[in-house]
Amino acid sequence: MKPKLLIGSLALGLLLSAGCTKRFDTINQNPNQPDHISNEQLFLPSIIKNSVRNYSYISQFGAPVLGDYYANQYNSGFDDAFTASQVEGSFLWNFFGVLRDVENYRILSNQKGDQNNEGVGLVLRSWMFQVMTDNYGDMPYSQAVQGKTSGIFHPAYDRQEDIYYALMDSLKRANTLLATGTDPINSDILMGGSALRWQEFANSLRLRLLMRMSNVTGAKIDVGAEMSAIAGDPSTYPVFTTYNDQAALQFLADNGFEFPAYHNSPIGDYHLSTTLETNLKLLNDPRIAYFAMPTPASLGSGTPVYAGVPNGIGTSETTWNGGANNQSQESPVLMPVSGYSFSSPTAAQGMLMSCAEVQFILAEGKERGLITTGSDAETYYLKGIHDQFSYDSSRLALMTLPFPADITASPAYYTQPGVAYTGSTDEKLYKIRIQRWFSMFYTGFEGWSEWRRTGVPKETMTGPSSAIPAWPRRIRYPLSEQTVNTENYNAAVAAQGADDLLTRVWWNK
Amino acid sequence: MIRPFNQLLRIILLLLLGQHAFAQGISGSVLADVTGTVLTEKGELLQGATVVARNTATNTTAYSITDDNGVFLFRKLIVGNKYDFSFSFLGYEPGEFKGFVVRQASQKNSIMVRLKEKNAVLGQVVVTALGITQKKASLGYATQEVKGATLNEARDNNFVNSLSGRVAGVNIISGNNVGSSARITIRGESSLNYFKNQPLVVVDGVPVSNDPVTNPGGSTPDYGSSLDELNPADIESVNVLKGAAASALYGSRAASGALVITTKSGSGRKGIGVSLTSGYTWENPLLLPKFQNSFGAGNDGMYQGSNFGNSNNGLYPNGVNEDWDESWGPAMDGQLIAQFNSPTTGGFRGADVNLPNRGDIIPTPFIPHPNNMKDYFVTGHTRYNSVALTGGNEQANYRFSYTNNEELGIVPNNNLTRNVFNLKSGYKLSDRLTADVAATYTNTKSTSRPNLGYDNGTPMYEFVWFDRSIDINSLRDYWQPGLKGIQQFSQDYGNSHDNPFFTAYENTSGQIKNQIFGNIKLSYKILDNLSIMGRAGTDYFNDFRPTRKAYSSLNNPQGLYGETTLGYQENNYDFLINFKKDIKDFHFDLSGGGNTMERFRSARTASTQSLVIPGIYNLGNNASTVNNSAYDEHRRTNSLYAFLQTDYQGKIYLNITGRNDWSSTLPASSNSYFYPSVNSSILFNRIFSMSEKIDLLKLRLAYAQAGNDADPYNILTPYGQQPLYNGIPSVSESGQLNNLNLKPEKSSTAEIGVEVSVFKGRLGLDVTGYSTSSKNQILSLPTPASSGYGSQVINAGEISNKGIEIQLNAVPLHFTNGFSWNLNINFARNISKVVSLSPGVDRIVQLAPGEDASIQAVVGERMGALYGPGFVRVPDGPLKGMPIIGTNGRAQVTPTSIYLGNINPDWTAGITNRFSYKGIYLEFLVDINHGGVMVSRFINKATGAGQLKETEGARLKHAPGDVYNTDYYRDGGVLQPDGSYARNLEVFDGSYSKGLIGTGPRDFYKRYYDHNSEQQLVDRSFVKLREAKIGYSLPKRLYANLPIQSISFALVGRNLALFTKNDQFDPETGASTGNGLVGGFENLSLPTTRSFGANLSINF
Repeated sequence: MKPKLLIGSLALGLLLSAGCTKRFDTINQNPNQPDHISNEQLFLPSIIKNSVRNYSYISQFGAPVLGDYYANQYNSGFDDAFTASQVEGSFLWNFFGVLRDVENYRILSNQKGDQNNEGVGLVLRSWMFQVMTDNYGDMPYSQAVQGKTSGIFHPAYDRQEDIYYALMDSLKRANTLLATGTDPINSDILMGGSALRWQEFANSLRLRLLMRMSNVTGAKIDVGAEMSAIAGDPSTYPVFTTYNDQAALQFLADNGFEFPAYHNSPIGDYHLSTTLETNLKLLNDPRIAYFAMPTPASLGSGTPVYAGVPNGIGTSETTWNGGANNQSQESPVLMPVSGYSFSSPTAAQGMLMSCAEVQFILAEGKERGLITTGSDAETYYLKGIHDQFSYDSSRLALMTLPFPADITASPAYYTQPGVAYTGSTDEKLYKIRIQRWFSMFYTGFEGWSEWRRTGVPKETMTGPSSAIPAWPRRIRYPLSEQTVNTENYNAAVAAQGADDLLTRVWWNK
Repeated sequence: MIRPFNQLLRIILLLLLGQHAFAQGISGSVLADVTGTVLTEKGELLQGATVVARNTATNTTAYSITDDNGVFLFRKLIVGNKYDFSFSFLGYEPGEFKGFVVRQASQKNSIMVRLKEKNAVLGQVVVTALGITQKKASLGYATQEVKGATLNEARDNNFVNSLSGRVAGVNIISGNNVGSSARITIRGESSLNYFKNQPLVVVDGVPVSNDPVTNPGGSTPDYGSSLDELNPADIESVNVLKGAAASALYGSRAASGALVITTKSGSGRKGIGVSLTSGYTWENPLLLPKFQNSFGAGNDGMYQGSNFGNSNNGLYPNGVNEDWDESWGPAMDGQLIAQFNSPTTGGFRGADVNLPNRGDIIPTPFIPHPNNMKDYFVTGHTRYNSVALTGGNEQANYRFSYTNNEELGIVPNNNLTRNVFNLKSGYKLSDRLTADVAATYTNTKSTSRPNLGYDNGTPMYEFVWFDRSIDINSLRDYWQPGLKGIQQFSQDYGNSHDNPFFTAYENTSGQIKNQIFGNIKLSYKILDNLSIMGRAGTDYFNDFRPTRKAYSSLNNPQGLYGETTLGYQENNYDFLINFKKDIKDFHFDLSGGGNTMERFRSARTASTQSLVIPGIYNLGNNASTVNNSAYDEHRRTNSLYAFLQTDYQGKIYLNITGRNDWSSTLPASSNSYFYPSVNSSILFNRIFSMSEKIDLLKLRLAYAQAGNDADPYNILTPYGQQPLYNGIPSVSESGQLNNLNLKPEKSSTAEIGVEVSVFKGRLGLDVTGYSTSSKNQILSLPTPASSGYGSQVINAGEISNKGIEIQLNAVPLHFTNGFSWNLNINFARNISKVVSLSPGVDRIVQLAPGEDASIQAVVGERMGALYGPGFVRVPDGPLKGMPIIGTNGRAQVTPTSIYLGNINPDWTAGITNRFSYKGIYLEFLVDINHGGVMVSRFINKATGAGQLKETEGARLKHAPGDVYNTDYYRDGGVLQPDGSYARNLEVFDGSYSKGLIGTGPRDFYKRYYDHNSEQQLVDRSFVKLREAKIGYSLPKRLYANLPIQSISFALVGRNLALFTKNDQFDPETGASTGNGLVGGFENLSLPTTRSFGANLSINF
């Protein structure tokens, strides 16, 4: 009797289970966040903001030591901050989190036939993969970011060479889509909704990729021909022609949208490097006031003094040149709110790619004979310098500084031997490259990447506190790849070489 | 209540009523009533005893229960038939009256029986799942009870802490500040989700939240949980149900065990009683880190203190060097140095840098301040007052209590006030219908709870960077003169440090929380052996958390104000039908019931990052935009369950349960899941005739399964709204890919136990062995970022736990003059193992609340494995195993994480000794944890910053002029060109010899600890004098003429002594994460405290 009752009641319960789950679907519907998006443009602002703020933060902290713009004893030993466990956030691997939204944006645009937006998605994706692969070399590309779409949770690595070709194809396709697209690019906080500016970014970025691989032997594409095609046909392949067009995000005064280190800066840990100091002073370049603060000792004196610190000297940094009182800190535009009352949340911009860089690429391409079309090298070179000076001045002009900081170049600046476009090809190339290095300040790892390719500035070298015998050539893969993508990671290391800081990436071999 | 339940109820009633009708008289017979009285051996009336009358001719039975006068009544029995009467009552031996012949109604038909009290061991009853009282003897699984009196004698305001050391297999990690949380685990960790391992807590049959409540508002205090706010004085008992077997009936949420709490009631008392309880305790840090007192602020021997040069846009450029928040400066020999607190020619202080007329600094001696930390902390105070009124009569009973609790923590300005109103009442509406009501209202207020963790402004973070030359007492006056409310006075303006007193008094995180929980219960006795109960309960709170930052706060020069309001409500509706029947020597007790649980959570935050008017903390006073966010959550679980308890002659018990849950959080295809349990208790001392000396010899066997569901909204992947950028909206997809095919989790437990009690309870032993397995775990599996998603919600994994628990109770001494010594020992050892994770996945990083180290679940290893970077060691040769010293003179640290040890103890034990003589008692509880490791971030960072005692030794060995000019050599192996290793040893005896590769003193220490979790390891083993108390009940003759029933007084202490290997902090410390406490990590946690106090209790 009793077991029957027990079974009976349970059976009854099971029968009634439909009633027991009434309204469950609505109860478990997330009231806070949507699980479906139909307007692709809702992704665009977050893609730009999240990627550029992250990029800019790193541009101020880890990257300027690798680029030898700033000195920092904690980074220039190339141990702590460069271990696999520290890499994920510090060397842009976390762009993959943003690429998830880029994929949503790109796929949705494609489905809806929104050509312009699809083109924008391709450009942003190409930019993110470019800065990542330049740091790491081989990495997941063709199988990357397909967890949801293809169920691939352990993407295989592609060779950097193949990634480069794929990115250039993407950028070509983006240029075509953006040339003919008619859909509006709303919510575009980077390029103001201008399809033309995105087209310029696409082609400028392709120039960056082409120049970076220009020393490679056995490339499967003709770098010179591709560059010449762009330089010779501005209507089909527009590129940046003024800093007003370049890819730079204007930050806002609101908390969470200001330049990312504004509320978060250990000032005092970063100082002007002697490499940057030396090269600026060599040219009497007034932009030293843009790159660094006067020393604390000279701050109130009315005559600012700028003094750098070498990288790689460890704790001796704190007593170098008589201590921090005689060392220049970061650029005034990068000063955090806790530093000085004149600090500005908006003076610095999130710089992805400048017009000046494009001019210097064209100048070098021309000088090396890669490019056979367009203007002459000197024109590009001088335009690059002028444009960069104008840009730097425009940012500093937004601040009210309590010390003199005029960075206008006198006519003599351009005629001095170190700047005038004279001398041998090597000398000219060095001038182009040092100016490009100046212009790539606060632009991620680009300055370092160009040093890897060209060896300019020539002063960059390790110091006694370095844990490795030479300046880094690459970044380690993040620890998570070793632990959760082990097989593919091991295959990549076998193909590319040891997962350390000295293995060279494909275009740098 | 939902419809299906009503239908089920109707069907069950029909079945049962039919049964009962059959048991009644046969038509045509002459009938008469039979009445009687049930008494104890001492002649006391027994109320509520069950009486069964069995007609030996028809073999039908009838039931009755004795009333308040011990009287039972059977109507309409058949005259002339022979009846066997049996009597039973919890705690008493069953009685019998066989062969009673019913006489004519005109004659007297009455019976009187006396029931013999059972021996104490067998008589014990415990409250188990769903609030059901069961004989302990009948249970086939382990439970352990802690009495409310135990919790109150040396009261901890978070009663959870009082369980530590008292219950085998229960582990507690406590937050260390006033009103903070406590993490409870029973029998180790079975879920890969670290925060899902806590037991269900049930108060008077209704679940109460012990989930840590995350604080979306951004500040980082430990706000505690609702459970931690229960008033210890209201607790009658806490029964710990340890395994799935014990908690199978609670379902999903009790997969990690359950704490069943019964609050005090007024039943069993006539007339009004008043009891007063008062207590006062003082608290001080138990163990503080050991600092050096030789070297002061600066670097490389150069004084670098307050950075006046940077402040006020260079108004005082001639001040001192840039600040340096580490003590690598010169020896503190009393030399004159311009410091932040040195006087100025303008009559101000050096760091009054915002005053244009500050003047020049007059240097003062550079000396150590050994008591900086001690001087910062204050003595904590707790004032506790509680009054309870109890009363009752035949119809009703009630207990009403009010408790006021005022606490001041050891961090300046940390305070908490709690007022608790508790009402519990029972009313007999008729002979068969009873109503019970229980309600508790708790109001918790704090104007300041300290932030915790590695961040600006948390007390221990500031002490990492608090130079030994800074006089903390000169920071108490924390405004610059004339700039009160606008500009703080600080030791260090440029290096991310606020004045610690400014932080404590101005940058506060407050709380106002109102909580109500309670239930209404109606019980109806349809027949004497058939009853039905319906209950509705709720747990509701509203938690308001304001955050303030004053003008001139670092990173918030314009101040900050934020508000977070958390809402929570859980409603439970349940019913239970109970039917009892005896068939021959078998007793059956069958119950069926159902439950609907519905839970709502919400969070609202708003904040402004700059204020227009200083000191006005209101969202209207905003100089920039107000940021808002909101979150709402809803879930429901419906359940049906049935259980059968049966026994044969009280010798063998068998209990079977079954439960089916329907959860809203799982996909429709798999949201229904069933789980059974079976357990048996075999009383050998009753089956076989054994020596009188053996009170109990019992074997327990149990097997149970339990299911578990997911958190809400884990099926579809959401797109999160991003803050407006210049007014433009946007979304970003969640980095966690959710799962459309989730299944419920399943855990199973097998348990075997033996209980022995001899010499009339003088010696008792209880040994339990168990094995549990948790499968299909719902977890967020980390995936490579390159897949686009950081994690994926999946069902995977199997965790097994095996363990043993031993309890020993003894009364070694007991004299007729009243002296007795009670000894209670419990011991537990649990080994959990990760059996499997997911295909292709052999490790999961569960948590990393510190810097580099993480808790990882690794296939084949124990849960709680701690991984982190460690030393690279010499692989072979004579120096094998020594750290390798690299070319930069630093010990080389592994690029990947290595196994460092396990955070969980190998075994735990608690020993309680209680000596009592007449009205006096003396009790000690010693708590022992053996094994386990943890990492300390304070030791790491404060060593690197040159503050701790350890950083002084090598510096003092170098000649004063050479402290910062010579190399320091870390012992270890240096790689030689031939591939061998040479020792890098520095010898300081008469024949000084240096090592091979050296570094400066800062590198020597900092680089040995930083990002080297192995060097930061601390042994978690400890022995603690958890409680000591001495109490005295004043003899009645002293107040014979007063209307007082009893007065007792006690002196108590908690955490009085600690024996552990490290001398820097208490290894019981956990890291506060906002999601709850995490063991194995010291992450700038506050020191634990030792408390002393006195308690007074008066009953009228």
